[in-house]
Amino acid sequence: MLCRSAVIAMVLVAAECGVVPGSQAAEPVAATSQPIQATITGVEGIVQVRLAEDQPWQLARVDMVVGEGAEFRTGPKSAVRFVIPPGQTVTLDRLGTVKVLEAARSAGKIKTDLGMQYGRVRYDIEAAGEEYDSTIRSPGATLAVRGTKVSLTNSAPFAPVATSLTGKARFRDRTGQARDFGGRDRRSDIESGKNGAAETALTRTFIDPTLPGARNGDEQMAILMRPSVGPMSTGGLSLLGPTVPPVPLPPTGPIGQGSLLFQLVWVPSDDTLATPDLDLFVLSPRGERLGGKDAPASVASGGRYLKDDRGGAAFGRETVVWASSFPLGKYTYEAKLASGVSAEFALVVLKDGKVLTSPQAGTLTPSDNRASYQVDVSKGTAEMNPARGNAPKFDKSQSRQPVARPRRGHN
Amino acid sequence: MKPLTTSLVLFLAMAGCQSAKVANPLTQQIAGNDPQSQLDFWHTLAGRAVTSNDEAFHALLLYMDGQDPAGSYEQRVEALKGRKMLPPGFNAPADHAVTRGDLAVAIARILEVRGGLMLRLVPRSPRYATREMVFIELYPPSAPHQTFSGTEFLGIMGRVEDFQRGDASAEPAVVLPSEIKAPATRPAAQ
Repeated sequence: MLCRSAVIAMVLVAAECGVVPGSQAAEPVAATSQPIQATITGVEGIVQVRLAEDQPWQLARVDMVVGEGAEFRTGPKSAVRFVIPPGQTVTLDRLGTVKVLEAARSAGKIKTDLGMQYGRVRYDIEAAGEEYDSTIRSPGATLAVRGTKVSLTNSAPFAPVATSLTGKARFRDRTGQARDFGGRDRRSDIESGKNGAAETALTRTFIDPTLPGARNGDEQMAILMRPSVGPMSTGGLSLLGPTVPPVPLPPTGPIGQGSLLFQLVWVPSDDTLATPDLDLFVLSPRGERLGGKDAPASVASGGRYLKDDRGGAAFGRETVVWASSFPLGKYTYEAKLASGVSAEFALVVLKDGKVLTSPQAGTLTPSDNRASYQVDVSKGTAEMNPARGNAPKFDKSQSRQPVARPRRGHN
Repeated sequence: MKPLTTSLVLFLAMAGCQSAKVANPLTQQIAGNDPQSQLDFWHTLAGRAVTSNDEAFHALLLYMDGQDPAGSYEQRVEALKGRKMLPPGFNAPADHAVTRGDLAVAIARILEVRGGLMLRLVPRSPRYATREMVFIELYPPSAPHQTFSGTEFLGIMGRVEDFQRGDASAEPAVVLPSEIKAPATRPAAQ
């Protein structure tokens, strides 16, 4: 009985150590493992290295040779690059630490194990007739590499991200789920918590301007999966790119490609409870009028008036946008106080998401209730209209102005 | 009301309105400008649960200038205010946790981020600076009164550097960050 218990105990201990009785002859791993030294080939900024945990930190220098157990740490605007022969290049970028846990040739295979506490490690393997088994470990993520160019970034408060510039790699996050990703000569990213590289890419192409967390996971995914929603969600309208096939404009003048956006923002400028209501009006070079309560929500050239905002305690905002193309020429745009005591406002024009002119700002009161400006979109210049006061600049008659006659030679 | 409930309510009333404090900020022990002190500071900060104002401002000066000649918290605040990197009227104590809003104002200034309309109108507003940091993906979704742990602070500073010098994760390991030819205007979302 004693003998049997001893055998069982020996088998259990052997199993814990990864050794199965009878298999020692087949896998003499420990006997043939040969450590490989790493050589520092590049240093930027402030970098320190220590050869073991009980050794002091010293400044890293090019051509310094380190072995297993060596640990690197970098400061801001710093990086260190070292080579583990044959054909492995490792770079630790800014504000990170990495430790060479294992670097050895074992059973005809090059085995490398790096431990990164935080920061970013980039790893190149030039697979030239050697078999590699390389791993980068980090709290919450592990990246297995075989003949590729990859990086692993672990920067709280963001989820760990693995990137492959070329070649396949296997990413395992804290859930334990392993996912292969990467391809040939094409960058691919995978983020911890995402189901794959495609979901990571899809999430990154989308910017939701609403409050973070305002939507639950199902709503977020439903929006992500809408094919018509582009890089920015504005109620189904893409501002930053023509994700919806552009509708060709009637040939009534030169047109520009891209988006054109007029935005009015205002805040109450007094302490009374009367919330001011401002209206935005835009008159296109073709005489189309947008904005206000009586104008149409869209015009033939593609312009849209997104919302009649009545203002609020914090601020109000109104927007007129041409999403994919717009008539070239001089636009007139105006802020008008519709109700309330007074308001401070700012008007901005963006072309392809970039501010075209400096924001126009001022204060509107009942005695000075409108401010009108002009911008020449083809030239990118803005000027203030000399007329400012109570006279209505935009009235309904202007929406019936004759549209410019079609011109030949323009698309 | 029972005494226990009264005590609990009083405790919550007193403790609930206070911002987190950091006992023994690192700057009292490691504030040198030599490489050893700088790396000790950054990597000890990574293990701290909360980043204090003094630690964050010391780190910002180290990041910008490579050194922090200021000998005290007051001098650091003065140096940052001189560069318009703090909100107007900033007077938070050294050992209080740094807020994401105050830090966002400084980062927006470092990166010369002009931002959207509201940030242009009020460039040192913690609220709009925070929103801009979220928009350009240097911050996760955040409120201006939240704070950062030490590791998170390092992560944010890393992304600030990526924004400024280019995203090195788009380059193979043989390329050092200073060898990146055309710095990206914004880092890859991570």
